[in-house]
Amino acid sequence: MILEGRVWKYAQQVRATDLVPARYDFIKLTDWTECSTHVLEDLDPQFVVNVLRGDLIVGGQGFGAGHAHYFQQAFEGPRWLGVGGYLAESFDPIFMVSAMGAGMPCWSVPRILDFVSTGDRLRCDLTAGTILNLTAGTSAQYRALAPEVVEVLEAGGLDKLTVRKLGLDAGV
Amino acid sequence: MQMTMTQKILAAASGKEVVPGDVINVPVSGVSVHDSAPMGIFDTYPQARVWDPSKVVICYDHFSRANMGPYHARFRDFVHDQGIPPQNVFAPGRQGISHQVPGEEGFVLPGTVYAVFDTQGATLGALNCFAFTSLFTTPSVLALGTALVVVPEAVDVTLTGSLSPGVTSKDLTFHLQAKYGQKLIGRVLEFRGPGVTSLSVDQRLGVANASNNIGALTMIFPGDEVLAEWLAPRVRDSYSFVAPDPGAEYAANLTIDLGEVLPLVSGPDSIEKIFGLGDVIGLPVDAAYIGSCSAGRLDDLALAAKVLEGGTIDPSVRFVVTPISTEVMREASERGIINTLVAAGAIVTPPGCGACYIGNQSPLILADGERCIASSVSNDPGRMGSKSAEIYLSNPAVVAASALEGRIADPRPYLLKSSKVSQ
Repeated sequence: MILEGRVWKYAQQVRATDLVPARYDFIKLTDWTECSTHVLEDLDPQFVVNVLRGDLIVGGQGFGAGHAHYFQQAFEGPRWLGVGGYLAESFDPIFMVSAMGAGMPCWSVPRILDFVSTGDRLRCDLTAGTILNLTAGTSAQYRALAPEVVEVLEAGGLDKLTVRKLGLDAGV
Repeated sequence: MQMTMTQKILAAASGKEVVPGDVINVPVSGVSVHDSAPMGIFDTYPQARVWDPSKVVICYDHFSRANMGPYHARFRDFVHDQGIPPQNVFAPGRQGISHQVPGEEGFVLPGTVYAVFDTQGATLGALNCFAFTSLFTTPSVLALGTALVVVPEAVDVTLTGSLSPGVTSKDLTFHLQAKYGQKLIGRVLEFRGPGVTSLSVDQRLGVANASNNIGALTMIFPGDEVLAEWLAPRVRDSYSFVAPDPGAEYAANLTIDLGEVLPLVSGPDSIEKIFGLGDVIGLPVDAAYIGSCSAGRLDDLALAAKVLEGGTIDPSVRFVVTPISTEVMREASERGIINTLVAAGAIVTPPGCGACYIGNQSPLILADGERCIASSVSNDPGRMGSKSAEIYLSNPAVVAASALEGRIADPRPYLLKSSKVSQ
């Protein structure tokens, strides 16, 4: 599975409420197109203006941490905006499973902050565990994503994979 | 390999050795779902079936009151269509919170992996199991009987001593959050040490309940005689306790003397603002609430009753108490606790999530500019009504004392008085 896109690096813990501010959970915003206009609104107001489809958000440790009430906005908003995936030194495990379950790639890559800068173009092979920094001309090898996870992401999320596994869409 | 409790439980369930960072698809022993859960593929595909109806528990908690029929119809149909046994369904009359009832009713066994839709699903980790919130992945867990889990690092927490009078599990969780916050994020807290036995199972459930607030994936308490005794009349199958291997590796090791934990208060507007009780004492309150999955258990209600015994709440305070489950309601009634609460001026509601969240048609809704002290889970603006209302969170003894005085108050003088009377 390949992700290719430009880096938006935030060298800190990017919390769920940084991805989409908590005030949109309080109003129970589930219009994901509207939600996508609020991605990183407080942390980097220029993000939604300049982001391109497939771009990657890169953060430090505990990416996505916070009360799980905020998780759905935090992965649906960026997903609907066209963000290609999250790379971080480490992830909040509940956020990571929730986001990947919705089809949003999350890759835990220790020392990623030393390897990339904002604007770099990356080509990540999640199955092989390799990252090419096409801008810097460097490459690195990390731990590949588990086959169980690649299967979920390639299906477009857990619900879609489950439907396929159980043959629920047969004849539809 | 020397394993933590987390590793042992996940390895046993998945049939392979696991190390932190692994992502595994692990079979679960059961799933608990509450009445406001989105059912995803089950709504889209009526022919979808749960993997094992006997292992699914349905709890009415968010919409648990009798007048909420339209909310009940949806799950009544689901239960019928899926063939879920009636004894697994905790509908009004038997209702309770989705991460309390499966424990009370013996569906959750030590050493197992147990999934709960609710964000606070880790609560059941008090029963020496790996309990976690499966959140938005729940429909696939229901369909396949397996869950995607990131194997977390574990933190070893050794407890010594015992909690002082007027201090509860709620304060221990604030203490953990305030003192060790960043060390706990994304990890599992595994408890051990002589202090564990001093905590009742109610208190352990209250501690593990805070996993999500602290940012931990879950918590696991060890097995001991206190837990064995609690489980004995409940469990539906045989079980063995899980203990860590002697040389198991932990990401951090903490020791907490329970005797040093003081009453703490969190808020307003953020669970990350934590103060000593002395810093907020005297702030006037308009409303007081005891209940929720954080502190609506028998221990919590009994402690509140001890503070309230013989007293009358301030007439300007609306004081609501919601037991966590029907079992707790019944027990509190039999022991006279409900009488004491009502005599003092409390409004006692049917069991469930109660006033913790306005979305469930809370029995306690705050107006603009009001201030509430609550023993519940969250204090986000608007959580209990108006966004301009302030919510402070504390243990139930502090809530009860505050209801008596009409301002945030210290329960310890009342407890001292009460213990003198009973001597």
